Amino acid sequence: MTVLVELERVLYIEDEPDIRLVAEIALRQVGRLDVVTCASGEEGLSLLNDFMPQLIILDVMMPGMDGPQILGKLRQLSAFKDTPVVFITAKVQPDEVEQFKKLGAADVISKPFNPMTLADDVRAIWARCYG
Amino acid sequence: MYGQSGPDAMGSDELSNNQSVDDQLAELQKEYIANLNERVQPVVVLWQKYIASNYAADVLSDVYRGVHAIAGTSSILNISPIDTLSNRAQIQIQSVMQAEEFDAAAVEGIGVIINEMIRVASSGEVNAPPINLNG
Repeated sequence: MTVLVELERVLYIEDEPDIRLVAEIALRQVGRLDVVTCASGEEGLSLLNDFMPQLIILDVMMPGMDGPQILGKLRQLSAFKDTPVVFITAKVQPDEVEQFKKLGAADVISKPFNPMTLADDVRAIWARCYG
Repeated sequence: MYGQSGPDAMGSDELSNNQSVDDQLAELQKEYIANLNERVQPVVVLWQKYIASNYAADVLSDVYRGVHAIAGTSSILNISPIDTLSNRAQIQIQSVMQAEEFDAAAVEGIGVIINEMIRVASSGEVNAPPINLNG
């Protein structure tokens, strides 16, 4: 399968600081991706036009705007209405995965994620979207 | 503060570029264990608030969110005792949230688990195996 556009820029929105750090190590150092992490939906939305992420990872449960609410905001923005969004959540059930996909998520990654394979998992989702 | 990671966590930029990935993860794990009591205390405060509120559902949602945060981080950092307890707490809280009638025994069960979480967190005896880098 040929991927026409290589994945380079990923935005990860997650309220837990330690998980953000692990994700940075996993995506930036292991996966060699250009990663920006932030703690809230408000912050993430404010960064979109500067960073122009190609793919966005959203924690599902966060204070303030949760993952699905952020996805809803993204889909109202013409520049990001088609940007692949991946939800990340703990112990997700198959029916919940389907529910998230119906909302427009490209896929769902479950916590705990493996730091050594997270970037590969994200690239695989990207390839399914654009391969 | 994008790209940074909050006041209570070590900034990734501060982590030496020369450190291997597993060294960095081990350092994060060690720091999390060292501050475990501080991580669990907010849940205890929320739990006390829930009791004082005469079991208000919205406060229990806050307790759930706090426990969920601990569950997520402790699972990724392989802090098994807290991971197990916080998952048990989540299940117990969900059962109370979804129950049609107030279940005093189930509520008491949440308190027992939270007490055990704080006991473990403050024991100074939490050990964790290295984060499994092979999946």
